[in-house]
Amino acid sequence: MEKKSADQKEEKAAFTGRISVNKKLLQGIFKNDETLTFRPVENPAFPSVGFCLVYIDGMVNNKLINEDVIKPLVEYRPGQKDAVSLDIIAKQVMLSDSVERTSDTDEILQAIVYGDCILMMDGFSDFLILNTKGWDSRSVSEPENEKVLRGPREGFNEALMMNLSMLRRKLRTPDLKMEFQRFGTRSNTKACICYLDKVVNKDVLAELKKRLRTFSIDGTLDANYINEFIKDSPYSPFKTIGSTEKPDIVAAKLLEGRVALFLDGTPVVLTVPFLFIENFQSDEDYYINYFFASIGRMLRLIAFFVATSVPAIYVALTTFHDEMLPLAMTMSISEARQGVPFPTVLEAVLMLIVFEMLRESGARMPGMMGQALSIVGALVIGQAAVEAKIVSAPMIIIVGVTGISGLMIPRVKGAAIILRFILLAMASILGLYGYMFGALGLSIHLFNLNSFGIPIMSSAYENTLQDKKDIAVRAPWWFMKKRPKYLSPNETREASRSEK
Amino acid sequence: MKTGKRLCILLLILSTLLLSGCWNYQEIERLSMVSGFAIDRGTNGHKYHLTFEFLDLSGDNPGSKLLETEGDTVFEGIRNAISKSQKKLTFSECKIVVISKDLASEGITPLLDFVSRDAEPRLTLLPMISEEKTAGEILQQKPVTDHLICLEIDQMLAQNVASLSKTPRIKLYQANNMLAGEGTSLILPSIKITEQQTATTVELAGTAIFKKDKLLGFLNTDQSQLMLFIKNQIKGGLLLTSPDSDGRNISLEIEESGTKITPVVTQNPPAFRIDIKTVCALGENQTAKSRITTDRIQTVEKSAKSGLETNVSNLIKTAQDQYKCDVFGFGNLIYQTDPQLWEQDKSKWDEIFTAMDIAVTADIKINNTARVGD
Repeated sequence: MEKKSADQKEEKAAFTGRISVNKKLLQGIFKNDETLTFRPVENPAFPSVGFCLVYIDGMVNNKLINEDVIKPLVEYRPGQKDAVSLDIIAKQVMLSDSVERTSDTDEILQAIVYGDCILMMDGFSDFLILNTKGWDSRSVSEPENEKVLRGPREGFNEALMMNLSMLRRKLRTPDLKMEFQRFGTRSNTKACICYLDKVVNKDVLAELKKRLRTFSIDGTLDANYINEFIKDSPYSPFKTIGSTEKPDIVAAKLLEGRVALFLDGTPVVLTVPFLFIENFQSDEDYYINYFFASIGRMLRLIAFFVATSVPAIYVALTTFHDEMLPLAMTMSISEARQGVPFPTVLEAVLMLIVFEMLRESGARMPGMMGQALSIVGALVIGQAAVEAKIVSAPMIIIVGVTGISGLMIPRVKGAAIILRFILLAMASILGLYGYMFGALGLSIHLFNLNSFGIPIMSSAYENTLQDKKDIAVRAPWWFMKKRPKYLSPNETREASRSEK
Repeated sequence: MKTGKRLCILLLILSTLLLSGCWNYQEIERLSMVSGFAIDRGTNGHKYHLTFEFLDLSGDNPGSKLLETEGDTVFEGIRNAISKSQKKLTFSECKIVVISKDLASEGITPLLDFVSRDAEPRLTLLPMISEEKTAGEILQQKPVTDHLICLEIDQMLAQNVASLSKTPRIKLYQANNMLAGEGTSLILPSIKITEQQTATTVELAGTAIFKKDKLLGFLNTDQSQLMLFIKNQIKGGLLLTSPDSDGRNISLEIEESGTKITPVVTQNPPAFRIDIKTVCALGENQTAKSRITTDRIQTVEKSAKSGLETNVSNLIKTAQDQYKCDVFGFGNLIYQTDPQLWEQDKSKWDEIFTAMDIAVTADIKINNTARVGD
């Protein structure tokens, strides 16, 4: 317990051998907390020795307490010669799967707030911690934002141990290591670092552990709290730490030599290192035929270009380089813009903001209002705005294509939106020349980014076919003989076909 | 150190942004796209009279409008248009320039200088010569299918080259090359107005031929086809021949044609051998002999061959006797094969040309007869 807050320290080591005193102490610590429950128990065979169970109502499984703790305690009949001691109770009476004897105050308090049950016994200043955790968690379901048509559908929920068990079921090897840590001085959230010992890049693992020691915060409610503390280039809009809610994705990443960080209370699991290409990889790519998977992969790469660049290029072409458009297109755009009051740039910015509003409201509002949204989006903003000559029809098309492409690549959605506006601004000042400036700057930035010591664009400048196997094209599984470069010291993947 | 570095980066950014020449933000609907313009002799003391056709997008359908200006140079005429139209004329989509024949006979180089020099008009625009009194009246004609007459003419020329080959299609840069080349002379497409049943419309009329940059005369469409045979620019089209004495025709569709001209510099004056190799398909048979046998094919081939040879020789004769000018650019071949000889002959080349011996041989193959059952 490396992190102690000041108020806990004051109470340290004050427990005694008398139940009534200990009870007062605990009541003092948990002042005004009426969920703390004391349950005195006595055994008719030796009524002089009092017992008392302490637990927090709602955190424990009452059935476990009734049947595995109270019942054996009350029904226990010691042999004549035996004196009853805490040790005997722990070893011979309790049916609980985990019984720990301790006198450490922090540990005891932690156990109580974590849903364990404390057994106090007259004459002993140390207590038994019994595993009676039992609270409801969400059932295993498919994550909304990582749906697949084919492949495993289970997703993580908010319970850490359950999540770890899901991962363990995918990788049944003692090579899978799980190391626990706690974060949050007040939330005391449990976290777990997982990796495959023989595959993992030890430098990355050491770097992750080092960075995890560098910060402190009162509560970590989601993995992103930690993500922002330990991320490389914290001001970059691009991710350098992966996140997923699916055990199959985590297992696949561990098999490639990555490290995963689980956090209690959130289904989101962080994985490091995170390469740029992972933004465009979907777990489904690996579960369907590689031709179709490759088409999907390429579409996503194109979508990134479209989502960031199309409004900028449109503005550059129509306001700076009209001679680059075919005459028929110039005619139709020019005709559509007759009578539109705003300059093309302003029109683009307005419509892009409107689209983002529609998207955001679609994501936030209750499901049954979807109809209203599509009516507003399609009729009011699409048709009526064009008929009223507030925006031109080509701009609606441009914004629509851009927006839809942005939705195709959810992992870089945020970065794509920011880039879209930056490139648009540059193109509106300098035309295609400005757009190229922006694009070059973007490339320089991307090639500068690292994720835990690994360049995130490392897949872009490797030249052998093995290094290109999982970029724009998802190669067949029998071709993936090696793990991605830099990620693992143990490069050879055990994939092969027996030659007959 | 650190501030110096920062200042340096700031300076770099500012200079790249401010000193680079790309600052012409212009809303697309504020431009008047010129699709083509015509150059005539000016009235009222001005040298040139310009007629522009530009896109008119004010109605429901795109249409065209004409604007006429005057100026002492082409550029001035174009700039004067601003005082007549609220929008600036844009030449990036300008497809054709029509030049009147009397201006062309005084020399075409000064007329093409602006479009070659300015940044907006493309080097692929098509100059052409009007056979009518003025060039402006060409633009006043109603297009048959397109909205704009200039786009119609542009498309007509492109189609003509591909499947008729009776009018050359010369882009501005090609015209400039011909004007500047050694031993070449300029040819341009010519255009005229014809009567249709109810209205008049434009028609591609053949070739305008030049001596240096001055207009000499016009070749009709049939002569233009022969000219294109000599210049090895036949891409398609038909070859008519009447193998029998009754004058009934067979249409041969040209599939492939190549011409090789060999200069014979050993003799003085130099001579030329023209070899035309053409592969055709028999596309139409109007003769009395409907059955097409191997022998018949040979007869047709022979008659087409002799017809083509005679026609090409006649055209060359016309050039030698009537125009007394090497409009085919034979001189350029001499320049390429024997530059020293060219240096000698250069000054009196047109005289040499008129007396030159030019042998024409044609080789015509029919490889396809689309059989009709009899």
